[in-house]
Amino acid sequence: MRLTSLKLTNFRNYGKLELSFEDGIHVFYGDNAQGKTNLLEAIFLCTCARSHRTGRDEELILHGENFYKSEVEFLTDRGLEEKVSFAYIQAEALNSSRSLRKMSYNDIEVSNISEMIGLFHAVIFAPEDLQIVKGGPGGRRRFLDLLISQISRPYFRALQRYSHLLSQRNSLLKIIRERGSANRSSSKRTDMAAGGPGLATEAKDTADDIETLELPPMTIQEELSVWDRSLAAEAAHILKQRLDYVEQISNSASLSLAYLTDSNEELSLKYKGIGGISHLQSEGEIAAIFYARLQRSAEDDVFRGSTSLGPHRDDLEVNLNEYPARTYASQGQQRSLVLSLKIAELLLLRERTGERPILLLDDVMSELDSKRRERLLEIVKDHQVFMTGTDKEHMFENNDDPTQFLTGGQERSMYFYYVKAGSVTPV
Amino acid sequence: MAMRFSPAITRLIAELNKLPGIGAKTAQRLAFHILAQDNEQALALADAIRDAKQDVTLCSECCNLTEDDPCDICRSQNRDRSVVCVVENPRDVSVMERVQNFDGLYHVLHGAISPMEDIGPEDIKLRELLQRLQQHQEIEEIILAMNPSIEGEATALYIARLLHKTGIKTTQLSHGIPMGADLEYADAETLSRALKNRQEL
Ligand SMILES: [Zn+2]
Repeated sequence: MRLTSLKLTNFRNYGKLELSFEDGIHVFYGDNAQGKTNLLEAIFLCTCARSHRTGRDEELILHGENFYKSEVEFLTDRGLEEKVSFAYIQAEALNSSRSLRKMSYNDIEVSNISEMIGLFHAVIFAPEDLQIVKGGPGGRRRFLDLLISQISRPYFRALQRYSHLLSQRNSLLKIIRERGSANRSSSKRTDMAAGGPGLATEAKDTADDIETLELPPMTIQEELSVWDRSLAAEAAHILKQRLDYVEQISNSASLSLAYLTDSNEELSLKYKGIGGISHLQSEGEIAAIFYARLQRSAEDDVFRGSTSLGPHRDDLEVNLNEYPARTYASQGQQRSLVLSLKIAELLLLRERTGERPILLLDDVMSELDSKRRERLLEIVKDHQVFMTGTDKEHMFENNDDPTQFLTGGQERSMYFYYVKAGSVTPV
Repeated sequence: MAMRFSPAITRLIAELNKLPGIGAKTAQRLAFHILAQDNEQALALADAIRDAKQDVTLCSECCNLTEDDPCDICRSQNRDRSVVCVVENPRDVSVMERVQNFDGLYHVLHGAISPMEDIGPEDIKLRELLQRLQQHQEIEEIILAMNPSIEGEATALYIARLLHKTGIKTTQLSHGIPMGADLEYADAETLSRALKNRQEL
């Protein structure tokens, strides 16, 4: 697909901005902190309603304003002109206690985020992505989730439902824990009881019986099972997909690494979750195993007040030559690994959706040596590319022909934009 | 920029603002609309609220909202007393009644289990259901018609567990109602299909 226009309102340091784009390679350059990365961030946000830099929408609003909006128009490889927009409005602007997210697809408002995922495809490679190899498991889970969600909407919905069920289960764990310590006799507040909304008129003559009639006691396991069954079903869907994709990403990234670096270094990924589960098992089998494990950890989980196992705790081990890259790989190797993972993401997205995702390169070209740069551009030769760099001269390393340098010898149209203090000028 | 009104107006706005789905702005608009009405009209609203609040109670059998206890449905001689359909809200009873191919009785829970909101099994009308089953041995089947939400499903499972030991047949509406859609919004055909295809838990 190809981005044809970007419209921003109150996004980071842009009050109002409208840009239109052709196919080819687009370069945003200018001094630091002028808003180059913000442009890539706004484009990327339209893939998944989330910035690659922050989970807090508040940070994306222009100082002094109370909402932001990012809108992209794009031409799909099937030849359709489409439009996606995301806005976020602060609670105070709405006179409400809750902020509001507004999304639309082809000018029709959409209420559930799951319906926005997988419409507009972009892959971003930014300095933060080094955390996929160096950082904690959260970043690696996000990498997997974002990739699979863009391909499979049911996967995204499973994540949503899983996280909702998890909150319910964790709340129940805390309630059980408190009940245990309060010795069960504490009176529970009833004013909010979902039942009688102020209707004090319980059946008059049976009211006393009702108060004394206790629900039959349940074990902790039984009480949790009400949530655990659904939780295991969603977890099984998530795990099955993750295991399948890890296999594919691992193969594809391994090939990319070999191509990028001309080496026989081996990249391999390994999914680290609860034991005894593999991608060869069916979803039903995985659900049964996971359910049993959840039930077995009930007492421990009550003690902790949270759920100790599941897709929200799992990790993805990135290995270089069979050693954990996090500790064994050099900075340069780590960079190549992340780039290989990103290329795998791009290729998988392309293969599974039939759409060529847009590639966003935030300040990475200058970090790559010329061979890696050329190979990268060879791989994405028919993808639209947006990139940032500080100054034109430095980006090209005094190369005589910047176009030759940046396109790696490919026949690509190049477009340059000078970015200064929230204004973007095509050069 | 908070606007200042006289205490009586402020109180009216504040009360309206407490209603679900009524924000501060709408509350203001409604308050001024009410004040602009003639006396009779405005007081008719107040009376309607007071009367409904005084006269409407919970049916001692099914916990539905009613002005006569027991309610019409529970009193009716034409209903099948061996089947009880358990729903979350009084609204759901109206929806089921609209379908017109269910002739059993109802039980209204007034909510679903949700630990996040501190709503446990003892906070919905479950004890009433158990007591009803003890008192009415003629009940042979319980149909669970919770909303197909995460909380509705959990509530259905919880009830299924409770009833397991009693040996009463427990079925659940399942097919046709899309996940996440409330019973309220299901069309009649979908609902009657769901009713026909109910599954034993
Ligand atoms: Zn009744």
